[in-house]
Amino acid sequence: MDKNITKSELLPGTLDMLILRTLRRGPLHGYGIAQHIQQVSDDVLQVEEGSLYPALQRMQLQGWIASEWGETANNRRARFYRLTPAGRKQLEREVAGFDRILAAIARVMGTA
Amino acid sequence: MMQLRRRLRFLFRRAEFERALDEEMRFHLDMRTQENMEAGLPPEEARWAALRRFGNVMLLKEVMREMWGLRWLETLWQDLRYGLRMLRRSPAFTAVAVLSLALGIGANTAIFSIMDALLMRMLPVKNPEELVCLRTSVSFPAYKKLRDRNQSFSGLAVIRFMETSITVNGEAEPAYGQMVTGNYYATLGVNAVLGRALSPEDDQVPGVGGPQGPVAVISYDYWKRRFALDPSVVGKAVTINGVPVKIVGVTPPEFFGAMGGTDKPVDITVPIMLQPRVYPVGTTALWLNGQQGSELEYDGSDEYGWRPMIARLKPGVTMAQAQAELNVLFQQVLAERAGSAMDERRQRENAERKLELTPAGKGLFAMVPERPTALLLLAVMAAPGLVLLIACANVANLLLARAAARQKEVAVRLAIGAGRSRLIRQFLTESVLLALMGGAIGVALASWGRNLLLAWISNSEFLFLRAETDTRALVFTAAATMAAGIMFGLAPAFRAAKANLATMLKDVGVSARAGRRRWEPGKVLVVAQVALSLPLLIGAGLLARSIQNMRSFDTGFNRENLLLFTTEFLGSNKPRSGALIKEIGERMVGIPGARAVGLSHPPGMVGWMKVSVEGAAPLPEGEMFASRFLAGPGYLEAVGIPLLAGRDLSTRDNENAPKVCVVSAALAGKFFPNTNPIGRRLTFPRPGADYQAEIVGVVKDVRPWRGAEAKFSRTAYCPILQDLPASYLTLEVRAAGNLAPIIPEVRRRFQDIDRNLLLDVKTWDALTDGMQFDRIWLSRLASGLGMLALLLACVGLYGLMAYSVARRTNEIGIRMALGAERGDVIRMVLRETLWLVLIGIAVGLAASQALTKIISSMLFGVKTTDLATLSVATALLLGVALFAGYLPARRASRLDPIVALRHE
Repeated sequence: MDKNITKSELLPGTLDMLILRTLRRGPLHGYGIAQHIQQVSDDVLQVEEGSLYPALQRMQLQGWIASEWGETANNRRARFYRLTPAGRKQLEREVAGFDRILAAIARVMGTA
Repeated sequence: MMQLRRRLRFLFRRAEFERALDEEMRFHLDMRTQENMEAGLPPEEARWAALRRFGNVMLLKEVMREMWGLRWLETLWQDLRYGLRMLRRSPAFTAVAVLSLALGIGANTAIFSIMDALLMRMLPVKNPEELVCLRTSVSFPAYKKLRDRNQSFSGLAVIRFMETSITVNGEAEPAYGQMVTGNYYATLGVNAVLGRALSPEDDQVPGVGGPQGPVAVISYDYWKRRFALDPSVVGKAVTINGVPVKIVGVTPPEFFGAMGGTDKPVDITVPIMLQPRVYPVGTTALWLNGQQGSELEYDGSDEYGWRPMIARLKPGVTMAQAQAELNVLFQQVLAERAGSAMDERRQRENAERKLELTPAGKGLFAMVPERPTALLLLAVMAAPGLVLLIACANVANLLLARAAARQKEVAVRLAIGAGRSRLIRQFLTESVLLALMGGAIGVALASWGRNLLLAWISNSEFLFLRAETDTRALVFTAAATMAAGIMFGLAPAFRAAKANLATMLKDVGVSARAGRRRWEPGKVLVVAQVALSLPLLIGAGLLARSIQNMRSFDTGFNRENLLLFTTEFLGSNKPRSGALIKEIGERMVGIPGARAVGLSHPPGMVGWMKVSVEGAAPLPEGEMFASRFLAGPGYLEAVGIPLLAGRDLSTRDNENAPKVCVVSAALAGKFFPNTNPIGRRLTFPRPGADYQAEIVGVVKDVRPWRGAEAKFSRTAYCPILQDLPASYLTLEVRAAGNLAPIIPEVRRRFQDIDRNLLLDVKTWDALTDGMQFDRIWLSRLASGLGMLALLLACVGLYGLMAYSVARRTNEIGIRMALGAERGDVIRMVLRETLWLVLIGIAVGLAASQALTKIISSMLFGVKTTDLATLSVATALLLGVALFAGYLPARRASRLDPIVALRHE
């Protein structure tokens, strides 16, 4: 449990970015998104359902992602989310912003 | 925007959203369970672990719903549904409140619109507040001097109104016209919408006009009516009173002339220089030239025919300044004429003459509040305000009653955790709902009511009204009534916010004690309503009685079967002389069905003038007055005025014969109390040569003008042929029986003489009704308002009693269980109603004594304390009010005691 960083410890706003980045690979359902983030981060980032689904709804409301129903590999109905053009732009903005913050943190850490 | 659209879509697809959310979560849980199982957990435990990790599903869903939904919209929808349910649960309350609001808004707006048209509307011209009117008629030379020398006005124009006969494409028809000086349109600031307006150039040469010859401007309304908006009307030649003129322009649709809201709209306007040909009445030449030493003499208003002047004040000049300047100028102009043939008395009188300026922004004939009229108008204006007050009181009353009844509901809702703001919002929603329903009906009522009122009180001959629903009034009334509704609707919520929950909940006995309190606000309001409607009813009643008295007034002759055919000698091709009158007299002999036929000036045209009498008893100068009326042969016989001595006027008393007259017994008795008047001479002083006539006969007194003082029956009848030229003629026909066949016959005979002669046919009563038209419309308005007020008061009373009964269901049940009969219950409720009404009536009677004084000048043959009127109005009020109280009383009496006891 120690190595898991909970949502509250994520930098604010990064969940949206992670979801958007995940969806850039292609449409995915909510469970898939959570799994993907967890796996790619080597279980460092664990996305909680209580944050994931409201985030997905909020982003739909903002028009960054859209959803439609489809079938999974093992023939189950699931809601798939995909990136909209607006979401793609948002991702670019967020990545740029994140890079700036990372660089800033790195500089601070480097001089210390 | 996009977001809002998405949210709205959500609102309508809510169920779908919920289903999708459920399925998505189920999928997630299934996947997690499977994952856990693959990690080696037993199925049951795997499921639990997944659920644990997921957290509170309900809370999550709520969070997401809220994210999407328009929270306030949802609660609003809930409030609305709840509000509607509450309103449906008490239909009587809802109906009464909505009706009150609707009547308050609708009727008030309608009445205000009419009032506005009647009293307040400004002329549709540039800066109407700069316009002033000079009511004194002065001669044309004097006008020119005043116009050219004054420094106060940017324009000063003269107007003369006239009846006309206009011939378009060979067809003659009556129209209302005016003659104006060329600067009229420039002074008013009115431009033509088509062609051009008249200019000073058009108004230079008497009888000709200007370089384009005789020209005319028509109104938009006339253009539409007569020419179907044909643009080629400019340049068209028409004939006005027999004179060809060319139409050069059309005035804007909203402009009807300078006379203001309630007078006849002007159809056609010509330069005043055309008067010698278009409207050559006896005074035309006199006016135009200001000759014969008569200019600006006393009695000026009648001297030239009434010619008001309208002027525009220069910016920054006040009316008082203008008046001061004009009067100095006026005295100068008078002094320039003095010395000629003016005797000392006239000079003295001239020195006292003044030009009076009055504001004319509302038009020349706008009712100018003065003397008792101002009070009267104030009363009329106040009436809609009273009705509005009653309507507001009604709504307030109902809502207060309801508030009391809902106290417990409020307490319960507060107890189970409703927020106070949420509660206030709920009540607000209900009130707004009521207000909106009432408002919607009210708006519809407003225009319908206005048309109804318009049809009722306006009259094409005496009162022209061009009323439109006044938006300002509508908005104001609606806002006022609704504000009242909303404010009083909030009362229960605010009361609840302050109240102590525990006592309210405990107070089960509220129903048993309700209605016991002596002076709750609701009762006071009902009493006030009754008190307010009574003066209106009494006022209407007094006016109606006056009208009745006027109609049944004994004029001294039989008014039945008497027809009056009046013609103005407009557009006649025949010379306007005695010849035409003689020809008419000859042709009208032997009309089938006519017992007698006479000729005269129109009966309204009677002059009350100074007279000197040869050989008369000495009397103070103020009493040397008599009516002078121009009558032709046969008049006395046709009207039915018997000859007492001497002889009647005959066809031989023509322009060549010596001047004679027949006098009434009252005149004879006044001036010749002891001597025989026959053979004596009467002299009516007039400019130029005095009019002198020998008395040849005495007739019985009549008082044709009902209500006129007795002294006005002092009349001298002079032969119309001896005072030419005449511009009007009335033919009196006394029918033997049926009037109907006589009218076409007389029309045909007039057409044979000259087809340009236009006829106005009336019975004598119709003629005199016109003269008391002010009284008639006021009475109609008052009775309309009174009925409205009464209706509203009853609606309020009904509402109050219905609520009182509803709240006392329990008590009534107990009474009935203890043996009270139905009659007892009805009596009990009615007694309460009666008390309220009686107190209201007492207050109302006192108020009406003060209020009806205002209209006392319009009353005829009836006092403000007239017992019959007071009792009828009171009885009506009492009857209707008791009926309003009877309905709930009957409902109370039909209660089943068992059900009533279980109530609550």
